[in-house]
Amino acid sequence: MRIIPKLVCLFASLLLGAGMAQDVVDPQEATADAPSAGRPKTEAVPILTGYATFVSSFSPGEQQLSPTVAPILLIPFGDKWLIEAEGEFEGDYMHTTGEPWEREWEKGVEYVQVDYLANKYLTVVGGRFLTPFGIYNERLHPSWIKNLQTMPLIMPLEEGSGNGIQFRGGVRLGDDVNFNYATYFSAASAVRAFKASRAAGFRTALFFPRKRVEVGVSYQRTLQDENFNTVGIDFTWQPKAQPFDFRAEYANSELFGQGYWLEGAYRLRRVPFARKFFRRSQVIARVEQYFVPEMGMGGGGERELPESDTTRFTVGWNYYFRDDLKLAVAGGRSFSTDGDRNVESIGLAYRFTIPLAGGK
Amino acid sequence: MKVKTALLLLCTMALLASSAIPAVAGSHPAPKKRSAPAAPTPASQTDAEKRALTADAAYKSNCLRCHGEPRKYSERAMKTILRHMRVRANMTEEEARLVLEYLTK
Repeated sequence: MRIIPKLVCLFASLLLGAGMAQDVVDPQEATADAPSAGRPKTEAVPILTGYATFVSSFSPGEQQLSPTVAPILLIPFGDKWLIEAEGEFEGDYMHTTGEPWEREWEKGVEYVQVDYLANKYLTVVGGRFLTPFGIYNERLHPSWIKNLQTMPLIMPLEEGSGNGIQFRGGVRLGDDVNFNYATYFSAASAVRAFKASRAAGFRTALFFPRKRVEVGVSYQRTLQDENFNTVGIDFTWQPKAQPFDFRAEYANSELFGQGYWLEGAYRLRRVPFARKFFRRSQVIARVEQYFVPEMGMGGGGERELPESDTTRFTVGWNYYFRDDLKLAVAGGRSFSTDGDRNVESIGLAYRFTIPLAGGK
Repeated sequence: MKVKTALLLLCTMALLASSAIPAVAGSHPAPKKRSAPAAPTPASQTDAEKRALTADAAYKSNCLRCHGEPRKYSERAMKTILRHMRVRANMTEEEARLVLEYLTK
């Protein structure tokens, strides 16, 4: 089992070596923020960014209010280093008919990591990071990015954060195809704010920039308590001809079950009337299913998976007051052997970005 | 057996990556020598236009996948944001450079 971390290191060494070889071929290799010809060099500055949301969701006999604040700090050093950290403070106010309000605040560290841009092809990441399994956990989870505020049913299969080391990067393979990868090893931690499982895995993808299509595969081997595999496939597509955004994921865990979600979002820029209103509007539809495993731990418990096979349909509407402030309204119905139910939600998501030095 | 499968997959990835990269590196055109600024010629304008179009395409194919219409900040701030996004979205070094150019021009 201990050979997995060694292989992850071997993989990184190969990439590092390839990058160093490339240094010989291309002595003008520079980081992305190196100065262009004729332009004076400017230093990157620290930034405080993040998001704040307030979502209220309703289902029969139950109301939930969820305020969340997630500050993100980005501190660059030189041309190749970046320290980044995201904290999350999430309130959970729950009211069931006939019962008093229950309230709970959770705080945690989503990630606090050091990135080293070793060369064109390799970035080494150390610390606590979002597990690069699939696309939702690492890329889409911030409220101002995800199209629907409710997370997919299978999201808990993606294992939120890990503590350890990652090797990742992107490589251009041709005019219209990029290869990207992220491979990682995480150590176990029982510390509340840094909770993680011992695991190793990777996500690798092909991205076709002209077609705006990305297809990725993910694998994770959890090496704690019970050893088990989780595999995943993700797909995104944004056709040039239409302001349409399609995202999909499938994940299968030996222990926790399997499922998928398919989501389409259409920005109503081309509606010929009430243009100002529709230009800022986006409609979304998602269909998803989750299946408990025939053998294994099934849903429920700490992972917050459904306890029985579930199918859910959700439609939503987002209104962008600005790029960094949106109103999100959604309604859906879930079907399961435990009973069918409707879930509605309404929320506001705000993204802030404050450069901490350097002025304009 | 499952551990062996995992090891096999990791090895395969390493081999694929290590074999692909030198080939890709070799396929890149040699870097052009920088020269003193000269009066724009039709040829250089075409190059600049091509680069602008490439930067525009890089911005649209990468940023608009997740962000509606990203706001522009100062060049110093955009450098930090692009470094973050290069890591988060696994952008290639060239894509990150083009998007930075696009967002700071």
